[in-house]
Amino acid sequence: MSKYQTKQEGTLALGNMPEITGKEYSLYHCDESLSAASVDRLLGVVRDTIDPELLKENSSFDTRRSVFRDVPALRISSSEQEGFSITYQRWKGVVKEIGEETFVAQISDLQRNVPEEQVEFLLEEIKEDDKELFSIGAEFYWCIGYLISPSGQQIRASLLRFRRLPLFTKDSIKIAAQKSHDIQQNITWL
Amino acid sequence: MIPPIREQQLQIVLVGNFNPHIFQPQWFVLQKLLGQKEGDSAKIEIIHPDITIFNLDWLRLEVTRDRVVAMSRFDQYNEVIKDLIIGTFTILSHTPLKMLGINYTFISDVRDEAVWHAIGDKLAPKDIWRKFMEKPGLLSLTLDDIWSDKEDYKNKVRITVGPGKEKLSFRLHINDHFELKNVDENSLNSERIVSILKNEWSNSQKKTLSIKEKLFAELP
Repeated sequence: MSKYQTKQEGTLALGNMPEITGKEYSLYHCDESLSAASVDRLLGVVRDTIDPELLKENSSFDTRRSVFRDVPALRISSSEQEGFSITYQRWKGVVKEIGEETFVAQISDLQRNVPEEQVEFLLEEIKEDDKELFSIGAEFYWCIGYLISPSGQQIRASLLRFRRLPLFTKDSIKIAAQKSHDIQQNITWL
Repeated sequence: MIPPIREQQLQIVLVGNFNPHIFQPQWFVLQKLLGQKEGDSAKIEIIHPDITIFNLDWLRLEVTRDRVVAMSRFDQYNEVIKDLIIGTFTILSHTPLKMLGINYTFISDVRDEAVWHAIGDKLAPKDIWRKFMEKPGLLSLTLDDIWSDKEDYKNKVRITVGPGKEKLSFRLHINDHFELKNVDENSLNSERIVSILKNEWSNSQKKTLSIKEKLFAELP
């Protein structure tokens, strides 16, 4: 009997499992968010632990072929991503001024060594999730290129995405302050 | 010259010791590394102590006990994925990380069978093989460059070429591999690998682009 068998079908096909979203998962697991057994119950899967030997590969090379090569039933295709994109220009920007309908940013080209420029964007270009990050000084990426659909159709596309960097913790602030103090103490004036 | 790229994919691979169960979409939302709507819409394939896989429109994340792979076909998100990995392992700073791969796969439709064979013959001339094989064909060819030594780590590029899965297609895979020196299992943390990713990212992008362009220019 295979290690990966569903109650319903007798063979594992992760691709045939009911699809759940992050929201459904978090709602279902509000009291037991880290319980593996509860995930399996939700998915209707009988599962042993995956043999770690199957997952050993001492390299960062071509993982999707090597790591899962001995797990025949595991779906490894990135089928959720339809098509692909080609980016022709990419910039990193910093918000400088915020108006009623637009904002002004200073942008630097990530591919070419050219002087920085100032650009005005419509506020409506900011996606809903990014609004909490939007303020003077916020950094973002801006890319222009094409989305290529699976049928080969090219669609012009522009992506504006604010950077999500980890917040400073009390510990990291304390460590930085200590480092700064140590540097200050070690300065010797000639 | 070889026709334009039909498909491309970035993979950032980390090798170390991981707890796959942590890597749930809502954990990323909680850490503000993903937006709420994005986290809610993530499609979960599996969350388990041994393996987590979920998909966003632009990202597929696979985590096992010894490996994290973040991959995307949408290159406008390359910087975003890099930030996601840096953010994740800045927060999970006690995660032992040993290796980093910044990998790209490019697939091109050659279409013309004669050109497709000519590419294989150019990359792997068949004279020697025809002495004892009837009709040799290239399935996969991998070349390793020499290690380049840095103070804290070593780096090498591995290139694999061969036919893609689709008929008359050509696949190029570039693995820009970084490995820490003086790895002491007890004192490993994520800081050294995160710093390599921050410092080498831009160079790695340029290196990959240059390899792809130079190689494609050489092909029939």
